[in-house]
Amino acid sequence: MKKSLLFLVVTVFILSMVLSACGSGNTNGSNEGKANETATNQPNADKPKDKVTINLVAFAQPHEQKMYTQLIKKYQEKYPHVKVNYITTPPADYATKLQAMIAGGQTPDVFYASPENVSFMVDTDQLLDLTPYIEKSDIFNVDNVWQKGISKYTRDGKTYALPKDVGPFAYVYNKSLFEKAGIPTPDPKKPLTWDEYISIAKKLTLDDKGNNPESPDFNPKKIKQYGAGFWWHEPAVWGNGADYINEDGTKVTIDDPKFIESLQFVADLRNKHHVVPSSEDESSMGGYTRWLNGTVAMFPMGPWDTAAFWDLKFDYDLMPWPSNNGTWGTWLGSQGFGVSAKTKNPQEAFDLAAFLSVDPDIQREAMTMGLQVPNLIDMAKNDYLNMTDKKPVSKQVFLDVIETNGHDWAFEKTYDREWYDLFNSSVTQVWDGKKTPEAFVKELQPKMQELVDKSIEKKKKAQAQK
Amino acid sequence: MQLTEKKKEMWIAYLFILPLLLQFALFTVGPMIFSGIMSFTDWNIVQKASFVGFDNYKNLFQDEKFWKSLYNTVYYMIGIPVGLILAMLLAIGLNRPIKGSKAFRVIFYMPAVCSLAAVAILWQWLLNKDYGLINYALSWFGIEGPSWLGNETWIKAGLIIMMVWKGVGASSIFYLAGLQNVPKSLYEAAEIDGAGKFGMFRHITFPLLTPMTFFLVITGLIGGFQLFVEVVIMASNGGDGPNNSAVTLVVYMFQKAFNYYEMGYASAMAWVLGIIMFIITFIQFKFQDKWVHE
Repeated sequence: MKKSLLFLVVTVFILSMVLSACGSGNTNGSNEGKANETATNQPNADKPKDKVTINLVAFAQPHEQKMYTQLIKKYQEKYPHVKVNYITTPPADYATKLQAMIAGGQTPDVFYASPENVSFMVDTDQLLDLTPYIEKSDIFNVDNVWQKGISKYTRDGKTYALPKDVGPFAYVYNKSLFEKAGIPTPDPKKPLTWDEYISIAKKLTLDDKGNNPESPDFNPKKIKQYGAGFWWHEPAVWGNGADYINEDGTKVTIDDPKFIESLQFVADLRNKHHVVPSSEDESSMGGYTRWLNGTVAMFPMGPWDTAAFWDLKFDYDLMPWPSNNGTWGTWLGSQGFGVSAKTKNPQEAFDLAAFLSVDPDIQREAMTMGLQVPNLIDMAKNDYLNMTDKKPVSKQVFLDVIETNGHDWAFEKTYDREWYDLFNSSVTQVWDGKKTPEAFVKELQPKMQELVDKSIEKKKKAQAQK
Repeated sequence: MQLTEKKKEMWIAYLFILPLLLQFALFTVGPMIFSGIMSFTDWNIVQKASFVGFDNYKNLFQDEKFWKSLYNTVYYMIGIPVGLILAMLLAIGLNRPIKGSKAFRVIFYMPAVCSLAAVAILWQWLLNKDYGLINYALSWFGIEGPSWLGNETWIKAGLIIMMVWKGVGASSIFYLAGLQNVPKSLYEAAEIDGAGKFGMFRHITFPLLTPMTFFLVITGLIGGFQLFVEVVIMASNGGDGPNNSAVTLVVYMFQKAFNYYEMGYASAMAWVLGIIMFIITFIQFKFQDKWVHE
């Protein structure tokens, strides 16, 4: 008697475990689907359109989240038949979460697509081709959106996402330090040559006794103020007419003499001229903090820094990155809104992406809050440039990056970025003076090439399945 | 009658472990089998996988970064014996009837219950070259401390110090429990025979603690092979560190799976790692009778 009771308990227990496990797996998927179905199946004689739900997954800073929540409200007022589910994640978790959702067959309707992932997502049929929707959209005119903001998401003439923003990585100088040292302020239209740059940076580097590197008493171990903060290799490479990979993303070109020369330039800034913190000093205090403290004279700046820099105690302005051949270059980042190729409501999803990307009110608000340069060209060229009461003064430099001097990240040309990560992890040997740039590129180029070849293989395989 | 009692108890015991067994089957064995199959494919998470035979495994053994990450992972394990010695000393100290020893136990155990991410960020500051407390302490002795996390040679040492600090409290709790199981009569007998303090430690305490040491070595090694969070947070370049000097197997696995769309390859790596762990644990069990006290 007792035994059978026990059996009963066990059986019930097992059943409940199994059922609850299945149940929890399903609630997200099919139940929701059913809810939608019943909603759509209801006879809606009065309403012209069936109710639909659009899932939007994005990472967001708190202020962005607030802005987008407002915007979504506005969107839902304009399209009352659409309900938007806005799901945010911390930036660090986003990529993993999105991949998990895709793998689980629950791709959100609208999500952030980084330019570096577009090739993969297009080849694996994740992103909807937005071109036909863009052509007939009444929300915006595509010619009024930065060409680079579109081209980053365009493959073979088809556009797969709309930009959330374009991020020009410009250069900024501490005007107060320049004036104190009696150095004429840089021309926002004409880049400094590398030699001019080094000589200015030297004058702005000071040790604890106030000596600069040109003085024989200069002590490179006790530098209190640096001519420039951390140096990325990209602006040096592009400012010397070199590149990481050829145009079609098949051959690693770091063994180009001009490339080697640019690595030497960056290494010399640290080791020979002592005008840039070494990577060890950098790990102790980041260049950004040094810049905020007013102890580096020149530093990179993106539009996202604008609001934070308004609080700086010193005067500053934008300048072009220095160049060795007259043409300066830097990177132009971006984040885009993509639409899932599997969405059931492509039009509504596209409208939401377009809204988030180019709604003039929100663009204006982001601009005034010092978060970004507007995605709309007319607003950027008029309202933004005319915001003269707000620093930086030479905002045109940002627009120059967006229109002419901005480069895509080299890994946007390839299927994945493993080859580029290898470069970044290894290049510290050059910065620390452990290897000459020549020896370094000679050793690394074949390894990077191997990874690029592998990435091309992966691409081919993915496309073959399409 | 007694038999049925026993049977009843057995059933109840099964009932108690049932949830865990089910969880194990659903979330461990299932995914393991799946990843085992996937390790023979070129799965990129999104598309259909196709079989590639042993290619992933073959490539793995020619992959420079795999060997480097394996080397780093093993290197980090220097922290295990160091941590165990410290933990044992700490436990012996805490086992004495000193005032406030309970409070100290709590304090030393604290790091074990702190969030790993918070601890990693804290240690980023402690290990800072110019502003860190570690280098400040070294400067008292006239030593100019290195850039722990920015330097290829020192980054692993920096991480090991942190891991020892984090683990020592938890290990010493285990040792404390072990110490309290040592029969007092043994010490009394030793005293009568004229054994000194060291002799007692050498012949009573240490041997009787070997089962704990065995347990801690095994769990330490298994945990060591899975090192991930600390490295990702503290090492530059997404856990690689300067010139791949910090990257561990699991970090590299994560990069392959989620950054480079090679879930098949990452699965192969996971299996190789699993097999290494199995072999090491197997050897340890095989040889435990050589040194572990029954």
